[in-house]
Amino acid sequence: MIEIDKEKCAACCGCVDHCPVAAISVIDDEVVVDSDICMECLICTKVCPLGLPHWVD
Amino acid sequence: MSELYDVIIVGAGPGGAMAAKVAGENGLKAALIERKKDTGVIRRICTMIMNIDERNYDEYIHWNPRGKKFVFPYNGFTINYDGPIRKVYGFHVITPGGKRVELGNVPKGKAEDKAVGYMVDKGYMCQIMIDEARDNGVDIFNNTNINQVRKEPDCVVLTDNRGSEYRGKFVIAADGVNSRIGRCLGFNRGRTFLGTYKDMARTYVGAEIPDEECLMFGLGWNCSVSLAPEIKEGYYHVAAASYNVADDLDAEIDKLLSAEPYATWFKNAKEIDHRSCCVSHIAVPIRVPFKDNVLLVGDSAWMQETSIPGAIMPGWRAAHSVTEALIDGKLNKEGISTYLKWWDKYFFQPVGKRMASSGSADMKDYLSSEDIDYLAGLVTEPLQATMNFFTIMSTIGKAFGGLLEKIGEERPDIMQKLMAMRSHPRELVLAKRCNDGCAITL
Repeated sequence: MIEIDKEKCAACCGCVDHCPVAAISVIDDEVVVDSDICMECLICTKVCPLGLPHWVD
Repeated sequence: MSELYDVIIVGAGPGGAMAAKVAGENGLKAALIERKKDTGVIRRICTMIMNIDERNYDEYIHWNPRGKKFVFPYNGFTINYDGPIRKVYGFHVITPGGKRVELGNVPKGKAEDKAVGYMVDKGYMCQIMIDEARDNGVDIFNNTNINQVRKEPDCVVLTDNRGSEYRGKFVIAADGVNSRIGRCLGFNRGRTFLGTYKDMARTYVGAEIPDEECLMFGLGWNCSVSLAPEIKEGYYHVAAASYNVADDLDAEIDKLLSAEPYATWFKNAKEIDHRSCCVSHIAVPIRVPFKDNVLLVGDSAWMQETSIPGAIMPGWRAAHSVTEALIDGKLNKEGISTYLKWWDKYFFQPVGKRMASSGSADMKDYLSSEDIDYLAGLVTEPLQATMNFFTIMSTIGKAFGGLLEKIGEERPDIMQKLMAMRSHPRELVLAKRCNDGCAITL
């Protein structure tokens, strides 16, 4: 599944915008991935300027 | 079933906040939806500049310091702003060897008090408009992510991430460069993809920069680099951006700050715990920003950085057009036709069309850092000050037009490279941008 390092996240929401299935939302100004919707395409890992979303087993 | 709004505005940036304010003032039953909880805070990289006293989208914005408002005389409206302001006197191109092509002489501009840009607190400016909208009865929904849109016979239905629905006779989509609403409605189909632009900035305090009251844009590095003052006195941001999502932007900023003269400028500077970024899915501007009773405004219909005034104006115009449509009882394309005509006349035809054919070869693929230093060194006198992004390149181009003969004589090798760069096929540029970027969201 995909996780985002919340400490470093600037909440620019680039991953929210680029997610093809709208699995990422910003809730209380924090970026959150819904792993039930996520299809693990890894697009968020490519577009994040800070390289924060990453794959964890 | 949820209540039916006259208009729902998605996105509380400058365009959406303005549209909500106008909708409220016109007495419409309106809602403004924003995904951030804190509407008055800008989280993306932004230089937050209003360009002043120069023509842009056939408007000539003026600042009224006594009334504390920005005046849009051609369109005929004003916006209130009583927050901090920092004046910016131009736009400079910097090179790895420390050369500087000045569009606007900073000391002269300061002496004559002729700023071309007013840096503002954009979050606060939007918050003023949002508060005005709320005072006029507009419902504000923050902390709400809209991610689906569908058209029903009598309304547009928006769905948020919690499954709640919002129904409106019209929707104004002001959700920015990566507009999900535009994408859901199929606006991106057939739009030429120009690249994924990734941008990262660090904020410094204590930098000592000569003539710092300008934007500086670097040519000759591997990525695009830029330096800009921030609204807070003494704060300065250094950014790197690239069309290649695999590029290491952090390393590029380090590289910039480790070479002279920039290392000296930042010798005593401290990076403060603040890092912002943004990533833009860039496609050509949309000619007809309307479908299924949804109007796109600002960046959602543009390619990137239509600028703050360039978002405020369509927001203002779109909300008025929706009002006209409701008064006339024409809940369709004909009802809001004044917006589409206005967009075509002032945005698409004069600027958008030209941007639609953009996509030229990367300078770094043809010219070395030394070549760029040489070229920048040829322009010794400051050029005309401007903050208008659409005329910066032509102003520089004109300056070099007169130097071509000299370049041809002194450096035929560079001349040859320039000519080769000019004839680089656009298809190859676009293919590279697709390859280096992330076009999947089309």
